[in-house]
Amino acid sequence: MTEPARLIADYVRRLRWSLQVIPAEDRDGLVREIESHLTDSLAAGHDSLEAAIAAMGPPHVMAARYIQEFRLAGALGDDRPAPLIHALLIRSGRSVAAFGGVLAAMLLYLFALCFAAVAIVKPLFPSHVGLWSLPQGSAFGILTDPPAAPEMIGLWILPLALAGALACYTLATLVLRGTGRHVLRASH
Amino acid sequence: MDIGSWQSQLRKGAAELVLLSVLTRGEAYGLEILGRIRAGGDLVSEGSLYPLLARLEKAGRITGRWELPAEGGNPRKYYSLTPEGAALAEAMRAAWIDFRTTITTLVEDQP
Repeated sequence: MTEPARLIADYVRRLRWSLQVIPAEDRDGLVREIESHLTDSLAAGHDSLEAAIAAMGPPHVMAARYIQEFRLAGALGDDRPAPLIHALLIRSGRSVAAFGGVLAAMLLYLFALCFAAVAIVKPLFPSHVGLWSLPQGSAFGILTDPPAAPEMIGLWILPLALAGALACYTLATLVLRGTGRHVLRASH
Repeated sequence: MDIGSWQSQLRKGAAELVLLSVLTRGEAYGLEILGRIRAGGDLVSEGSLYPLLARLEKAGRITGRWELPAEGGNPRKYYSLTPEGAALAEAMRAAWIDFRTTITTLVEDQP
């Protein structure tokens, strides 16, 4: 790689790194566009490349500008659940979608919590946690009074419960983000 | 307030109007847009242009498409105004002309 090409590759790599909060599908386009601009500038001469990089500033400064503009456009889903729930609850009195979204997400978070509890309690009280097949149907989870029937999955419950917790947590966050995007955009 | 930071705020406020106006002249990619703006003065730099383009695209005022030049080389992202963007550009232009008239009366027409 020639020296200017390395300069471009380095700038682009650092810019991509600083743009982590931007959704991946947007980030790729932004970074490709800057790469294209710098490559075109280089074609006009090394000085022109240096002028372009100077005008953009360091990659983290450039990234900060992108992030600020994305915030202004309301295009940045806040990944932290708490502020989103708060923002949606304020609107849930007026919007059925916000109310439904928050309710669904809360339930899913609750499920995630239950799954996590199963995984945590299993090593502590192995005989009280598991999956039982009973005449009246099957029982799953933490039971204070476990049935006499043999428990069916043993320690396999650990990865299953952890996967369940993760799946519910991810789904809840997606529901929340989706609702957030829908409702907050509609209110702008 | 020092004149430099005041000027930079003026520029910032004008950048969106300038960008939309430049695109009313037809589709263009980043470097071309910069060229058109620089032909009329140094209002927008690389550093502010691309983030601004990203916001306007996210907000649905402009739309972008990637194209590989026929002669080979770099892929470029061409931007054009959406109908909403064109309407906004027109409204901003009218507001700007009003504003300019007011400022001219108040500031420039001093005896």
